[in-house]
Parts: sequence; C-alpha cells; structure tokens
Amino acid sequence: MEISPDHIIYFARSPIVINATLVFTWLTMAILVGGAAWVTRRLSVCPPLPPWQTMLELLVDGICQQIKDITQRDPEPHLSFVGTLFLFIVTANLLAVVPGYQAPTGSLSTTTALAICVFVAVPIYGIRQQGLGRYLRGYLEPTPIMLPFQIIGEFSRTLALAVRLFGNIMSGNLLAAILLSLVPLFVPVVMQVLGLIFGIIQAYVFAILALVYMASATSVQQPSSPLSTQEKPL
Amino acid sequence: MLINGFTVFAQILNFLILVALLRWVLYQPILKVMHRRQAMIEDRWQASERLQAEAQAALATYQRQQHDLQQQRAEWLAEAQATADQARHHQLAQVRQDIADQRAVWQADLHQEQAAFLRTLRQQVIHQTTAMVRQALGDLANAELERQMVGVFCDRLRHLDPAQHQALAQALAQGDQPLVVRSSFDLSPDLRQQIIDTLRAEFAVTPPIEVATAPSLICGIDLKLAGQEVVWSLDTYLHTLEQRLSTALTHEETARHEPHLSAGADRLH
Repeated sequence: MEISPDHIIYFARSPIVINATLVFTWLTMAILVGGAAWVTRRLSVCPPLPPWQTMLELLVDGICQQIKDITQRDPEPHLSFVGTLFLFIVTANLLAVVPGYQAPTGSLSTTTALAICVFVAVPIYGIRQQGLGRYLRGYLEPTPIMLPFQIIGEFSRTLALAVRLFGNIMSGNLLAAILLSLVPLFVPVVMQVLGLIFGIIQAYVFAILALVYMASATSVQQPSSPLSTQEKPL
Repeated sequence: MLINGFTVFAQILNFLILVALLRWVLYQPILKVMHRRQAMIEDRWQASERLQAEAQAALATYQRQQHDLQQQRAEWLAEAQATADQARHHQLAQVRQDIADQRAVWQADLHQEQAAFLRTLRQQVIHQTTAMVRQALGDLANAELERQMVGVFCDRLRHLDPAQHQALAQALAQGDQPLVVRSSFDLSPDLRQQIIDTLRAEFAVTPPIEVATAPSLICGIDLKLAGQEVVWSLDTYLHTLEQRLSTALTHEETARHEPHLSAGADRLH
C-alpha cells in the first residue's frame, strides 16, 4: 500500500514526474472548473433560479459571510484565494470515497504546495493593504526582539498547515485501508462516512486558518483602525 | 521521501491556475449576478418607497379635495337654499301682486258694469218717470205741462236767494252777453214772453234772450248768464233718486264680492 499518491507514477522523465497526485489534481480541477462553467453559462437574475445556480450562490455567499465574519471587511479580495482553497480541498476529500480516486490532499507535496501558497499570500495581502514598510515594521512589534520568533512563527504555522491536512487525510485513508483488511463489512463504510466528515472539517479548518493568517497579517500591521482612531483623542 | 519538488511546484502552479479559472468562471459571474439582483431589489425597494410616498401624497391630495368639495357642496346647498327662498318669496309677492291687480281689474270692471247698469237704469227710470209725470201732470192739471213748468220756473226766479239774485242782477246789468234760456221742449211765444216779463219785473231790464231746445234737460228749463244759472228740471230729482239707487247697489255689490276676494288671498298665504 502506498502512503502517498506521489508514489503512483504514470510518467517519469527527469525532472518531470507525472504521478497520481498531479493527475487527480487535474481531474479535480476539471470537475470544479467544468461544473462551475456549466452552471454559470446561463445565470438568471430574477427568480425562479435553477437549482445548481442556487447551490453555487449559497456556497459563494456562505464563503463570503465566513470571510466577512472573520476579517470584518469586504470579503471579495479574499474570496478567490480562500474560496478556491476550500473548494479544492473539500472536493478532493469528498471524491476520496470514489473507488480508485486518490485524493491529492493525501499527498504531502500537495499540502506543502498549498501551505506555501498561504505562506506567500499572507505577506502579499498584507503588503497590498498596508504597504511594504508598514508590513515589515509589523515583525518588529511590539519589540524587535520578537523578530526571530515572528519568522519562526511564519514558518512553523506553514508547516503545521501542511502536515495537519496531510496527516488527517493520509491517516483517514490508511485507517480505512487497514480496517478494510481486518473487518471487510460495515466498519469501513462507517469509516468512509467519518472520512467524509473529517474531509469537510479539514477543508474548513485549512481555509479558515489561511484566512485567519491573512487577516491577522493585515490587522496587526494596521495601527490605525477606525476604533483606535476614535479612541486616540480620549 | 514524502515531498517531491516537482510535484510541489506543479501543485502550486495548478492551484494558481485553479484560482484564476474559478475566479473567471465561478466567483465573478456569481457575484455579478448577486450584485445585479441586490441592485434590482434595492431599485424595486426604492421604487416601492417612492410609489408609497406618491400614494401618500395622492391620498392627502384626494382627502383635501374631498374636504374642499364637501365644503363647496355645503356652500352650494346654502346658496341654492337662499336662492330658492328668495325666488319663492319673489314669486309669492308676484302672485300677490297679480291677485291684487286682478282684484283691482275685477273691481274696476264691476264698477264699470255697475255704472253702466246705473246709467241704463237711470235713463230708464228717468224716461219712465218723465213719461209718468208727464202723463200725470197732463191728466191732473188739465193744462199743458210746459206751461206749468214755465210757471214753476218763473216762480223760482221770483224767489231766488239774495246772493244769487244779486249776482244775476249784476250780470243782467252788464248786458254784453245774451241771456240763454234752454228748455227740453219748444217754448211757445207766450211762454217766452212770460219769462221775459218775469225777468223785467224782477230785475228791471229787458235783456236779449236766446231760446234754445236742449233734449238733455229732462223735463226742465234753465237760464244761464255769465256763469250764473237758474235751473228747474226733473233731472234734479232724478239725480237724487239716482244717487240713492247707486248707494244702495254699491253696498250690495261690495257685500257680495268681498268674501270671494278674501278667500282667494288667504289661499296664497
């Protein structure tokens, strides 16, 4: 049994290696993009709305509400990144119940790639909103002594993101495989259902943590919030 | 090794491509539709609020117009009532005036009929009386009626009251106007001479005398000179009779018409 879909290699010519992670990532991407394009090819403004459009609107509006609740700002700048994180991970985790499907999120390479994306996106969003100088000054607050710890914290949380998602998905698949070999009836089905729930939760946790990191990067670097501006004269 | 460098790089690229594709085919269309729907709902909401405000304004306008119309209706009713009352009073006064005019016309016609009747009656009474008197005098006196009348006239000349006698004497003394003696019959020469003798005896003058026949003098003789007049005629007696008959008939006609006129006037009130 392979512990990671990276080890299922379909094509290899150094340095290009086409493994199951990439193939099922493309499959997942095709499902997401194709489904979205099929639903949004003919959108209706006025009711009655098609069921798939209603579902997508509920999904997008739910993501926007979550972003707005956490950042307390306009959700649209974060929607594409955080929404795509959630949709990709949750789709990959849900498709894991399909026999033969290898969830890309069970690959440490995939989770590392996603964590690197978050790691890069956090300063990009912070610099875009605050500017480079103010963002970098945030690492020196409350005191420059904290600079090494801040840097360590950035790397460690990126690592935590990657390992958390990989560990959960990989362990779930591994546990299902082990139980399938030990108790072939009923118990694997229950474990698959639990895997679906865990997959959704992990997707939610990954997206929310990424959003929290980006929101904390922009809010920490923003010394003059509307509330603090009003409180200063007092 | 659980991490493959190429796979990581490829997954980063895949994820960025997926972000761009979903942004293009999912987020932007869905957000655009949701924003358009929200704008449409806001437009409808604003339109409904505007319509509600317009409806409230129209309601206030209609209520004000209704109030004005009610006031105007009350004014029109009061004005129409006043006009009707005025027209009623005017027509009532007009009817009363018409009744009064009609009553005056009736009374005038009645008086004319009464006068005509009295004239006719008087003429008939006079003629009948004259005829009877003429016949009675002729039968009783055995003399001509004219001669008796001249005798009576001459007797009246002899017994004039002093003022009339003096006035007539002054007129005869002036002598510039003829003495006119009229009778209802032709005077014979001896009767004319009897009158001249009586004048000469009473006034000591012999005036020029013009004798004329006047049928209007009913069985009588008169003498006129410069505004002075001496008359004896049955017409005097007949006038007295006429006045008495006229008074009696007037009282009778008035008593007969008054109840009808009073009853007509009462119905108009």
